[in-house]
Parts: sequence; C-alpha cells; structure tokens
Amino acid sequence: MPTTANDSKVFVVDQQFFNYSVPAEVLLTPSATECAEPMIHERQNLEQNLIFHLSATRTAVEGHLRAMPISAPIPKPFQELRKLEFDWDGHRSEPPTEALIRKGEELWSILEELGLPELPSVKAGADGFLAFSWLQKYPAKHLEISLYERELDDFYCDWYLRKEEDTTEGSSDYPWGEMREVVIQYFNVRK
Amino acid sequence: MTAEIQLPSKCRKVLEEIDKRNRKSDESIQLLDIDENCVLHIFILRDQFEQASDKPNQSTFGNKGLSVCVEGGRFGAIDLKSELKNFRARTGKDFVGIAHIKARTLLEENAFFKFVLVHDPYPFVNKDGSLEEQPTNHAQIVCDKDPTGKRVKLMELCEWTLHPSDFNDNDS
Repeated sequence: MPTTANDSKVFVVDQQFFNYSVPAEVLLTPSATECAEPMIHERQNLEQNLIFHLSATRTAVEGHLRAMPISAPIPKPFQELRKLEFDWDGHRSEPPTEALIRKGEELWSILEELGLPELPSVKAGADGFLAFSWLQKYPAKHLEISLYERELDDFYCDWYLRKEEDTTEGSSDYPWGEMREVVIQYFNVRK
Repeated sequence: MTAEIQLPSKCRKVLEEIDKRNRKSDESIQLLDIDENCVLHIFILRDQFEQASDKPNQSTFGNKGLSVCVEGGRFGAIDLKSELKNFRARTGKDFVGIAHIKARTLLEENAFFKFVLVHDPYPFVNKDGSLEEQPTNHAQIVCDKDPTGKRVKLMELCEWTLHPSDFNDNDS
C-alpha cells in the first residue's frame, strides 16, 4: 500500500489479450496525499469507473470463453442455454454465464457417467442458477439439483430430494462429494 | 409487513429498483394490501412448462422479484387469454400458460417464505431504451427464493389458471 506521493502507482492491466484498453482515470491506489484530501466526488467517480471497467472486463472474459472451442459435442439442454440473451424470460433477467453453463456441462457429464435410467431437464433460473430436475416419477419421487454461481469461478449447489414421503435437502460448495450418493439414492442404482 | 421481514441484500435491490422507477412518478412506494381472496397470476414460458409433472419448473420461481398479475381485492377480474396475448405481444416471448398462487396460501406460509408483495405499476426502461408501461395490476413477490426447496414449495402451491394445453398459438 503506497504511503507517499512517490509511492503512488498506476496499475496497468495488460489488455492485449482482450483487445481492450483501460483508460488512465482508473487508478486503483491514489497517493497518500491525494487520500488525505477530501475528494469524495472524485473518489466516487473512480469507484464508478472501476465498477464499469471490471464489468466490461468480465464481459470480455465471457466473450472469450464463449469463443473458445469445446471439444465434446454439446448436450442439447446446454445448446439451448447458450442461446439465451438478456431478457430471455421477459422479466429483464441476465442469461446464465458461460462459466456457469460449463460447470453445468461438467455436472451433466458426471451424471452421464453414472449411467442413470433418466437424465434431468436443465433450465436456467433468473438470478444466475441452473436447475437439474428429475420429474418422471413426480409426485411420488422428485429430485432437484440447483447449481449457482456465487462469484467468478466460485460455485455452489443445493438439492431437494423427495422419496417415499421423506424429504431431504442440503447445500454444498461445488464440486460436491455427496452428489453421486443423492442421485443414486433417488434411483436406487448400485454403483 | 416489511418491518417484520429482514430481506437479503439482493431482495432489497429489487425494492430499491422499484422505488427508483416509482420516484419518477412522484408517488411513494406502495406495499400491496393483500386481500386473502386475491389471486396472484404468473405467466409461464413454454420452456418452463414440465410435461412430466404438469407444473412449471422450479426455476420459474427463482426471480427475487417475481412478477405477478393481481386479481381480486381492489383489482378487477382478468380476461386471462387476452392478458396472456398482451403479455406475449409486449415481451415477444413464448408464454403459453398462466399459473396462480392464492394470496391466502402465501399468507399462511409467510413464516417460511418471508415475502413482501409490492405494487409495481410503474413504467421501466426496456432493452431498447424506451419507456414501457406496465399494467395497473402488476406486482412483485419479493423474497429470497433460495434454496431449491423454497422454489419447489412455490411450484407445488401453484395451480393452473390457464393450462398450456388450453392455449393455442393461433390465439395470439
């Protein structure tokens, strides 16, 4: 942390990767002298600029991720999720991020490996989550797993299982060690 | 009701956003008096309709500010098909049905849901940047819809007002 005016530094992010330039007014650490002065308005401007440019950077990362080739064939639910745009639900919701969709595909491939008799429907939820729903035996049996993006590259999930009138619920950071057990419990699959 | 309920920050943002739009109309934000005989209608997208369960998917209920059309109480009766047609036309989205939750049911379960119902007839700036009007009976059920079990409960409480099989695309 700089303590004198001489220590003041401007952090320049190498933006060649995104072909995007950060303007000079984005200063992450102004000098101590500057800090000492009452520049609330300027500070607010800096914060707004920072938020704006962080958001733009995230959008650039998203765009880059979307442009990256995916080696395996994309399962249909995820093809549909990738088509979603802002206001996809008619209520001005953002689409799921590419990172969340990729994490969802990872979860899907784990489910496929389990050789389950039924794969779930996968839907986007407003406010950034994916719902994996097993409803073929509804209302007698019902399993839901929701995958959420807490923040960049930080995911968690929760589940709801109803079977034989017993309901269990829980949540965990993702990857989630108990997932196989919960799914196997739903299907009575021996693995 | 808001004084008793501690809303998480995401939900408070929904209220602030409504309040911001409301201020342009020089009124104070209105929490809707919930007449227990009111019915809260929710438009359902084709992709949200699960044929296996004959219900909307739980993801339908994930929005921190869940849009509803209020019928009953100080609001009049709704012509369902024309409401759906208008909503399809206004949003350009493939809505195919309307589900509803009875206000009485929600009120009875409010210790669990911890919701506030906010009247939101205020226009908003749409994705094209133009001001869009909202119906006078539009409200939002504001509450944290996580975890999944909460959305499942909403899914199970809702009933069809207009089932997708009773709606013909040609109607629109």
